[in-house]
Amino acid sequence: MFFPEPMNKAIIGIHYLQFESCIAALHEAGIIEITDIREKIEETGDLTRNNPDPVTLSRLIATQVHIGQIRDKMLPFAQEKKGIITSLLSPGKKTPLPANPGLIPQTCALAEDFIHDTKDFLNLYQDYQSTLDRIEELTQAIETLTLLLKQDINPDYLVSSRFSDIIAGTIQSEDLSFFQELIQSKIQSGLITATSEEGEKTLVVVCAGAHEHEALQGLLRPPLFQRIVPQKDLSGKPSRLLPEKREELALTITRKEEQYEHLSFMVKARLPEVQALYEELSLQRARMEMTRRSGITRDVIFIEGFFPEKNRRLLNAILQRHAGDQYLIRILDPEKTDTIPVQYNNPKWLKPFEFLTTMYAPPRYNEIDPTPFIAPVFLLFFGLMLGDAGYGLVLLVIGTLLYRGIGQQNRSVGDMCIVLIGCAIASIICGIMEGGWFGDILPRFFGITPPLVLLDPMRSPILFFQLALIIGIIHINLGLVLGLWQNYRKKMVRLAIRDQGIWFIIQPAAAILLIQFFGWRSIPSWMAFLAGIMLLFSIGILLLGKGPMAFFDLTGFLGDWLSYVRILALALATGGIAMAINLLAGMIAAIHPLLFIPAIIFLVLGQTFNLVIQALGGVIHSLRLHYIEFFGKFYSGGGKLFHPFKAERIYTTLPQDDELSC
Amino acid sequence: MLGTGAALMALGAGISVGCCAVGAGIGVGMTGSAASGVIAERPDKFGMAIVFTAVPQTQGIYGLLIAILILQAGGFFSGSASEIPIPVGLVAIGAGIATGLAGFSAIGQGIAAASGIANASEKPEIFGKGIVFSSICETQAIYGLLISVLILSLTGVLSGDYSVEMPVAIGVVGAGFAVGLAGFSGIGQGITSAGAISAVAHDPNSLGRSLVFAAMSETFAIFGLLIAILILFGLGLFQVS
Repeated sequence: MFFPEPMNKAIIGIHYLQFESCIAALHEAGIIEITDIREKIEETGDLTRNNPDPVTLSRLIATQVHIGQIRDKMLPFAQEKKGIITSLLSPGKKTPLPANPGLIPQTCALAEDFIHDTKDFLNLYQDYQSTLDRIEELTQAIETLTLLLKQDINPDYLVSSRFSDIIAGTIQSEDLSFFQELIQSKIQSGLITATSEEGEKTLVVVCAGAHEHEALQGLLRPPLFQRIVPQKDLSGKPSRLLPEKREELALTITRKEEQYEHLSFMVKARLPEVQALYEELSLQRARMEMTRRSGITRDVIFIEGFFPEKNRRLLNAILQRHAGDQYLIRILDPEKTDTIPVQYNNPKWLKPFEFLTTMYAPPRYNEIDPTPFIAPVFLLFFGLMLGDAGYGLVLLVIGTLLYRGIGQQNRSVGDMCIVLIGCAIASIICGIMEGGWFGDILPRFFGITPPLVLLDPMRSPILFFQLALIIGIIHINLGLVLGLWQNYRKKMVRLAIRDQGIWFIIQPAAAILLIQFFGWRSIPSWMAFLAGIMLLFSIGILLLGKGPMAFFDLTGFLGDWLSYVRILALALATGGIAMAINLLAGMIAAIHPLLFIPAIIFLVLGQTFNLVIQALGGVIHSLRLHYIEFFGKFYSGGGKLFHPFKAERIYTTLPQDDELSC
Repeated sequence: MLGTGAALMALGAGISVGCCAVGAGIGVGMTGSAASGVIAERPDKFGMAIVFTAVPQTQGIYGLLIAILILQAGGFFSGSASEIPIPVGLVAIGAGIATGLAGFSAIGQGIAAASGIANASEKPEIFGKGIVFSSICETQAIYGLLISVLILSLTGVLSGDYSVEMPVAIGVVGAGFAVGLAGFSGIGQGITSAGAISAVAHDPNSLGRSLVFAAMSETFAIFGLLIAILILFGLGLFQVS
């Protein structure tokens, strides 16, 4: 639990006849991270590069792309209209189809049959697209005809002929006189034949001789002039055409809706199947692409990779089941250049907190995994900083609803929801102890004294300050102990003394001298003398090890310790701001009885704002105390997470008794 | 009739919330500008940008908090602010200066958070590290808040005890200046942190060394805090338990 999973590096050889089924089984099991063996090929003469069969691969890719296109066409007809909140709290249940794993040609044949069967969908989809195009054409035609209706000009007349140009367009009404002067002054043959005002815009039709075509085109440009370009098939008077086009548009929209309904019905029945097929083809392709990482001799295909020690028996069992005796496995010593991947080794209840470690950096192999230490302390810090039972209850409700909604479909979100629920429970407990119920809402508005209050940061800030410093020094020393333990395990005794051990001398010595300096207790002179000697000795070792930079170690340690005071600062901020919101809401309500409802609205909005800001602050500052003050004592991270060759199935599921399942 | 003490208390509350608002406003402005640029190109980064933009806001909240505590201690909310001795008003000014001036550290935090937004939009994996580098610049503000609360609490003003003497009251203004002015080191720390975020985005292994550089500016804030605590101790405000 305190270190990542022990990893093995292995080379596996499988007879080429059993390779595809073995790889499929390993893919489904997801227990091995396959590395590239090609670098070894130059060293061993017998081993050559293994490449997937190009004919099979191209057939697979073509089928996958085709199925992907059908899926993309179907998706818009399957989307339910949901608000953000509904989609978070009730995203809808997905029922995966039973997987239909087989060899690549079989899956491709299955997909090709499916493509053939979807011809009716594709034909209807084509009709639907044509309908959409027609609606757009009609909408544009109606727009043009509406503009020309006042003068009832046949759009056919708006053409550039051998002798003249006739152009219609709109201008801003206020620009009309300027436009008329412009045409008269610049175009000798120019004539504005018709104008009609339509509110802010005016329709104008300009005629000019063809010899001035270029000059006219230069003048009739946006933003002054918005040209009307009639559609090609638009012929007739607008007064006659407009009702016809409007009627046709109405009919076309009805047809579109009918087609949409029909398509939605078809998609509802077929989308799960198309998604399952696309998923299966993607997995098949991933397996084929993986073969590029393997090497081949005459009969045997070799792969190399890392797997957790706990999966050794499972790995053997899978290979035995699918290759019989036609395989070999050899455990290798990792080379110096190898980056051993790390897999967290935490119990189930700790797993949701792993992302807090990963967000900083995953541990290196053989380095302490700080997750078991982060989980409880993060919750404690958050609880103390938010310190409000009312806010905790709100977070608990939100966290539970999210967990039951989107948290069930997305593991990462589910983990965050669990952490949020933990934070909420911590806030409720700490909030009760700190007496925070939406600030001071209970005593202020209901005259109720909050029960079970142990330490109110607003009333006893000094006591809370001391508590924060005590928690800080314990937390820092926990980090030092972990660092000491880690360095001792690696037999780096000197480093252990210089980086961690020395602080166990500096701290008590400095404490004795400070107590004597401030006169809090009477200290025997021999003890003070001894403390002084110990302090000088420790600082000397620090200076010898780190030079002048040791000075920053001393100030840094003090800074790290004092940094925990932020627990008090944030607890005060939550209570103080909530109190101010309650106070202002009370003052608004006291002005006039009619302002009671605005006061309630102000109270709810203000408390929501405070909850969001303070919860965000609680997370950020709890993380900061871990990442800087705690990790700085023992943890560097920088490991590479274990990414197994794993089939991620969302739309399909393997039956438990399937040969591939484990 | 309103006394000079009450006027000084109001001044302390004004310094606290006003200076913090200036610092937080500039900080949030810089972050918001970077956020606007990023979401124009990558609208999906809105949530990430909002988190970074919220980071330099906390100084404003600290300033507001101390202002509220001062006004409450002075009875401004109950309309009984007239009977306040001058030393109590000076204590409030000391508390206001400590948090108010330290609130300018939000400028540094804004510089760092802006860098965090720019880098995390390109490399989402450095979001957590960006938040850490941005939040370390808040330490100065926390020191300021701490000294303000200690001043108000140890002098008894917070609990309505107005018996503080004039020399002590003048002394705590010095403590406020010590930690408040030292809080400006947060701007330097923000500049270092902004560079550190870019460095970590380029080379994730440089995190530890970058943190050392970023923490160096904090040394001066610790000096200020230390002197402020020593002043409070020298004034006899720390009781022996």
